[in-house]
Amino acid sequence: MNHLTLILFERLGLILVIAFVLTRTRGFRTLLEREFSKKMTLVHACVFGFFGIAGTITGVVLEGGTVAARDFVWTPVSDGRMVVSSSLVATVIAGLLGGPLVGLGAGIIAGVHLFFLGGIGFIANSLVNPLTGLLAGWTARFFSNERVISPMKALFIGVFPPVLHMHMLLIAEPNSDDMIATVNTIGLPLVLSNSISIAIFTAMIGIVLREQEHEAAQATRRALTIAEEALPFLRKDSSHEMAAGIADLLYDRLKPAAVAVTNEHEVLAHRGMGGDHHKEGDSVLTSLSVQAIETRQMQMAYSRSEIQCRYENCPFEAAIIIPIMDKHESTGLIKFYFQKAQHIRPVELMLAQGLGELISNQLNTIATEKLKTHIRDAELRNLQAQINPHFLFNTLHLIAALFRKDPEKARQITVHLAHYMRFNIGLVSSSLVQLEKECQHVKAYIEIIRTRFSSRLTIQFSGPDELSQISIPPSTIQPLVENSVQHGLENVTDGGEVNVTMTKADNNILISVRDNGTGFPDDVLDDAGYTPLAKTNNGGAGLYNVNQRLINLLGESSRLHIRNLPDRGSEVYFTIPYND
Amino acid sequence: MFATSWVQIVKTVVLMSGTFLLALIVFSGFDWNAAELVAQVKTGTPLDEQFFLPGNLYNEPLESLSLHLALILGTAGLPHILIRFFTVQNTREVRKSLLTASWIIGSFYIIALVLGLGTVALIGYQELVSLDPTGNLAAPLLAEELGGDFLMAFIAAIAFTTIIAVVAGLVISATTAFSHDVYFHILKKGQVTEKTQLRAAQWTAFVVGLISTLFAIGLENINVTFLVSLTFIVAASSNLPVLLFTIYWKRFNEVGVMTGMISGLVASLTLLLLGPHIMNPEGGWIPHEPVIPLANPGIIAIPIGFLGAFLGSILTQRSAQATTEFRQFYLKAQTGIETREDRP
Repeated sequence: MNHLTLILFERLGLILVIAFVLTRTRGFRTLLEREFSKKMTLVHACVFGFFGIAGTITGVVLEGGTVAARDFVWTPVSDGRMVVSSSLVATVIAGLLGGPLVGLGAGIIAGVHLFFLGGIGFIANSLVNPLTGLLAGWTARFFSNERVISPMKALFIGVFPPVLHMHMLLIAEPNSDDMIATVNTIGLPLVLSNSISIAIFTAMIGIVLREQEHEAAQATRRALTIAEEALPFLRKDSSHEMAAGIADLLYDRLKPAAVAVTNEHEVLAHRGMGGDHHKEGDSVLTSLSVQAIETRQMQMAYSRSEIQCRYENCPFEAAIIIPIMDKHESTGLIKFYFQKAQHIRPVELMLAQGLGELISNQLNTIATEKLKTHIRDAELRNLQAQINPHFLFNTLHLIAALFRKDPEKARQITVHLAHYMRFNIGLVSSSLVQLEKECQHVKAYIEIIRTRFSSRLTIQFSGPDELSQISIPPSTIQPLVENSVQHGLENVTDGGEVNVTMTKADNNILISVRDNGTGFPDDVLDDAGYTPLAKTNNGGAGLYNVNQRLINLLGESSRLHIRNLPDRGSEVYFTIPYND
Repeated sequence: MFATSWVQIVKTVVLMSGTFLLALIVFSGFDWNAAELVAQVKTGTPLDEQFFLPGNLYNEPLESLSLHLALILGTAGLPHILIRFFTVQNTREVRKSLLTASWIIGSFYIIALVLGLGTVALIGYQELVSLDPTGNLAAPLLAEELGGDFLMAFIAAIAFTTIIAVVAGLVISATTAFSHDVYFHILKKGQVTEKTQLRAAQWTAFVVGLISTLFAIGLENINVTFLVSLTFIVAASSNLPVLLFTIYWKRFNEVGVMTGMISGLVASLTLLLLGPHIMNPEGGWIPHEPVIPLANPGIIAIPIGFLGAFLGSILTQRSAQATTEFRQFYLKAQTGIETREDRP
């Protein structure tokens, strides 16, 4: 019996080595991914069935209680001999890993092979395989919910199939002392060798799966770290700076051949090879890029023709293009270039896609944060304006001065002031109000200003009659008027004019505030609205606040346009969309 | 109870499959012909034809009836079986599991029958008795005869697993009964920590194990079936009346429970003491003619238990609360539906 045990262990060791080598190959590892389809079940059953056949071939032939030949079992055996096969190992593993159907399939394949080999007890030998596969599959489901059963449990389960095998041999040939002697000889060696092999094989498969999980975990960690490091760059307002920072980061961490960051029209930054002909400012023209922007999905190029670079010696042969999305539109692309198509592995694809989504999400979050900050600023400003000492003093002075001269006017101004302040309190917290209300707000302000500066300037307000369905962020027009009065007309002693006009076009409304004052200084003109100017008074901050709120709530198309008029003065205008 | 459950699951699977396969081997040996098996049995036993006719163990019909009564009713009253119901989620699952268990037990009895017949047929009564007068070794001997050392080793392993599973169940029920009911509620009035309770449970397990081991050594030479039937009589006369009355009789009350259990227990123990197992002129503990000649006094003890429970309730006050409680309880027991007052 010892002799037999040793031989069985040797042979099984051989199979385990082959199995281990197989687990190092790519094809076998993909086999272990659990996709439930009929085809995969069949494939798995065949693979394990072949292992079962290998187990039989590396088995031994018994004659009269001793091993007859040490060769592999290739040919059918004669009637006086018996095949001792280790096919149960493969069958049990098939059942444990793949479930009852895979186990049954593998068992049938191994069983049929044993059937044709013949010999003593060949019926029992062949029947026990499908039966074991089925039972192992059912037992595994019952025993544990883990992806792969633990080796100790597999060892325990592996003890019973050889026992079943022995019982079936005895059922097939009862009353035979020879069979009893045979069972005594092969029973214990089979139990030992099979159960231990099953445990070892299960441990091997567990290692492979854990490796795969580690790889996935590593890739995920990398993506998350990159997304975190990208945050400071994403917060920058200037798109060029943001693009440059991101491109640097990605090029450094992921080490592709090159990285390019674009908006919808042009390349904003490029790092890496090919910098001579892939430059900032190039237009985004290639069909894949356009497709990525329109479909909002990742695109891959695996050949030079797909990349469509016009330069002859362009070193890139493959590229991944990911769209970056702001809410639901694409605001730009990140392109990864590679020198060879095989450099793109599934890891890179997953990383690129994950990064695209992460960065889009972060952009969204940052935009929301900024909007909240601006709204808060507007609230604060309005609160200040409510109790703005200068405005209040001046207006109260005005009222006091009018008491005696023109009491009726004084009363009107008081009403306008109350109106103005009430509007400030009530509507500060909503992000959009009806255009009508905003017009009333502006009119109240204008009345006060008109009366105060009646000699120095005139204010005209005109707008369409139909104003009901349109929404606008609150306190957007009034600051523009305030700005014109305080800055444009600061040094104008008389003849100053402020015109507020609202004109309806097809699907938007143009709101424009014009003055004939000194106009904006040139150095301020470019930045006005994009950076808060020095805050000695509210003017500069007001324009910036209004502009940011308009952009964030209604989109880039509604931003403030600031220009100096050709003869004198300035104009600030913006459009808001409306649907009929 | 988690470990106990797993041990018992493994034992059930192994026991059922092992004995089933052994039975298949027995049948296969007789070419799947039951008539041949029966014929062979007749040659293996000194009783010949008489083997298959009633009256071999007990020739008094009263004894036979009493034994069957105890076996049937006692199964429903065994506390260590009842306590296993707590591992199931709800009443519907309990009924399902009970049905499944009954089927499994039923098929096991048939298999055991086949194995017994196989032993007599293949090994013979004389050989069996000479090796072991109590007849306890029937299954291992059959395994050795049919399959040599390997099979006997497997059957021995199964027997060992079964022993462990049963012991685990018994120890768990004994320790919870003592540490939770007696120690926690009665002795300490609910004033101890869980840690102390656990310690009490551990000590109980040790003591229970020690006592049982001593008993087992002393009772080495008695067939185990006899001990089992004793258990059944006690269970049938003290536990079962109380359970049945609780579920079906609305007049039943606390006093009835106490009198029922005490009378059943006392009756069965006394009758056993006065029966031929203990009072045996040759070699029993009390060398005297048995006062009650019934070896299985179930037929006397069980009615005494019922009577005790009945009288205890009838002769004491009825309470209104008990009636409403009964209605709720009856509904829940039959359908599994809880009323609003039931839920804590």
